[in-house]
Amino acid sequence: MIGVIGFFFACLLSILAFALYLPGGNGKKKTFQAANKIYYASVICTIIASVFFLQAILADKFQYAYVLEHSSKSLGFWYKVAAFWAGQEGSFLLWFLLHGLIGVYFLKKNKMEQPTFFIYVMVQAMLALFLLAKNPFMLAQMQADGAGLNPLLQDFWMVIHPPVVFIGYAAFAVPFAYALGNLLGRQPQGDWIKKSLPWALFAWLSLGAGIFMGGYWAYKTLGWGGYWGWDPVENASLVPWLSGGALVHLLYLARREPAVERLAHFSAILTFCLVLYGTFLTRSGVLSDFSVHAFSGDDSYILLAGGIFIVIGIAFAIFLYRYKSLPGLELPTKTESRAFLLFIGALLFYVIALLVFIGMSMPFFSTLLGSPQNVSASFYNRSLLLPVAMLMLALVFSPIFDWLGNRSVNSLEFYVIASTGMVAGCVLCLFYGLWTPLYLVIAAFSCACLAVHALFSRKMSLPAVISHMGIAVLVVGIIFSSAASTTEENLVFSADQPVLQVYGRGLSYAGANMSEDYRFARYEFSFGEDSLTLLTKLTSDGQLAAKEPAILHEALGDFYLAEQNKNLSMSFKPLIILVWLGCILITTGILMALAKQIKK
Amino acid sequence: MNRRHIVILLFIFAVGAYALTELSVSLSPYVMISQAKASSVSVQVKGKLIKGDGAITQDKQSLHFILKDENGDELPVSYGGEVPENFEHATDVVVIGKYTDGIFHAEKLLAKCPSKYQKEGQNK
Repeated sequence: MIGVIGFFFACLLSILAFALYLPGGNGKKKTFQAANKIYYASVICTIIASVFFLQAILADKFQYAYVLEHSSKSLGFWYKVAAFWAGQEGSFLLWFLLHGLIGVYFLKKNKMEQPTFFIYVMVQAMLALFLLAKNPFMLAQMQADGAGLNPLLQDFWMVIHPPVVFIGYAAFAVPFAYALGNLLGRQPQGDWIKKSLPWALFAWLSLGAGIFMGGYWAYKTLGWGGYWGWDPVENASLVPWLSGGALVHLLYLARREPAVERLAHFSAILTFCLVLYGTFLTRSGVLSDFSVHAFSGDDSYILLAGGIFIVIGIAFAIFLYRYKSLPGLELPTKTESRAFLLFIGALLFYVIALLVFIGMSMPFFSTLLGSPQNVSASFYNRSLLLPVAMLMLALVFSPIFDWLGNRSVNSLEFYVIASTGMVAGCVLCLFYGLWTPLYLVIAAFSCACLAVHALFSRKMSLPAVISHMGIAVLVVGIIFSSAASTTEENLVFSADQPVLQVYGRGLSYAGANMSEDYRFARYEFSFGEDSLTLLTKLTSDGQLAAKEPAILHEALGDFYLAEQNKNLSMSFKPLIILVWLGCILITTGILMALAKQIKK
Repeated sequence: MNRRHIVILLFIFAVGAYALTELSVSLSPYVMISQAKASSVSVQVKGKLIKGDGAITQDKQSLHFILKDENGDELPVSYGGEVPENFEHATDVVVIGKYTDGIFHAEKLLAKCPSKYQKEGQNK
């Protein structure tokens, strides 16, 4: 009961605080003090509601519809905790809580002035509206046990992946609020850039780490052999990540080049709007004909869509209205400079983001136009190659100019190293039999990028070197593990053929066994000198719930044994380890950049 | 209209043109069954899954089933990819592919349940 009361108070007080901040900078000081107190109260209520919500899940209170649908008695402790964010309502509550906690930090440390904080609270009021429509404390008919958490989601990475993504979402509201707050001020200043940068880095770091975890989980659990399916829910997090990458680079650039200030404002506003837009696409049900992932829709989508588009509308109205108050200087056009390269890099991030955005929005836009259509995964796989090749080329050149526009490395030396890298890339393609020209070009540029960054690492800041190398490693991993992958399908063992020759090794079936609680069935195979285990998870009533693949990691690539469609197949995924290594490098690089900013 | 605006416009135009060309080759329109039978390009069809004895069969290579749309037309479908776990419980099914030689060859199959995370048929 306390939880429910806390919940309603949290939502209503957030909206009230927003209304009190509304009069703006000329408002009376007393109103602001009152609004601040109400804001604190709303966050305290949110914490109370969250604690009670968690307690309701842990204590199996199945009178709540959410607990009934997402938890069950037999679920382990951590999976019960994960049930908190397994559904729509709970994940909105988590987002609301994180947003509120970050807000309290700013208010307490007095680091966010009006009208910036007003914008921040506006987002919170919008989230409160969502929660009122998607109340996690809805009551249901009492039942003895809940439906439980989908066994596919019962995995370590799935427990921590959603909150990490939501931390990223919540943190992107900070640069958004700073940019809009700056525009609303009497005379826009440049200091919002310095304040936004660590938050943009933090948000980019979190969202990226969340996406990487999701990909790794998909690869090791779902058994279709990939880590990225261009599903709308995945795309809805990728687009803000790409935009966030552009934002981080533009913020670094804007510290030195006031000319990109307009673009930096635009980028900060756009990034969070893309977060909201993705939320709209995946939560409102507009995609339910197109995606198995998307949450189902009901009438509450009108409120959701309304709230989101009002906030996006207000944000861009402020931007357009105050656009002229920002200095409109000549953009960096001197091609031989670091500024130009950074600028081009940010633009390429946006080109990639735009392509993904068009693809993921196609069902929605085409439905609006009256003839619903969708794009296939091949749209992304093909259209992104060219901009990615250009991005890798831009990365090859990134260490050669310093901030002042001087060439910081010897030209001859640079071209020799870059060419060596390109040759190495081509040799790698040759080794794995990859002949498509664009793949060859991307692999060559990526290897050149690695070589140049490794040998001229002193010419740039270390975080940038590490994350750039991470991107190159990731791109090489993606290209080889997908384009050079091979599969042996329809593997059948029989009495005459107990050992199959797959990839030059003997594959044989070594029997099955059941775990003691009948929740896991293990199918053992031996492959050459190694053994592989296919894991099948069952629900409590013995239904088949999930089939996990068996993966053998080797230096040249992974052997991926999976049961698909009642057929056993084995794939070879070359260099897939580079995908994970790239992700780790990118995350490490951004983490170091963040540490550097915090120290300042 | 200074040089900067021209460069920006050219850039937007180039990106837009690239995106549109790429899109035009990979779109698969959402159509009714009668249109799907007449179409020569890849399309998407949504229909109800016909259930009952022998309505859904599976051989070694692929899964065969019949969809029925709102107009009452029926479409035999063959699908060789991975069958989603929730397929048997699905009411509505979306298939993407091409109609040739009297059979719709699906490259992709979406089984529409209320949600991946929620059980079927419950009230909200």
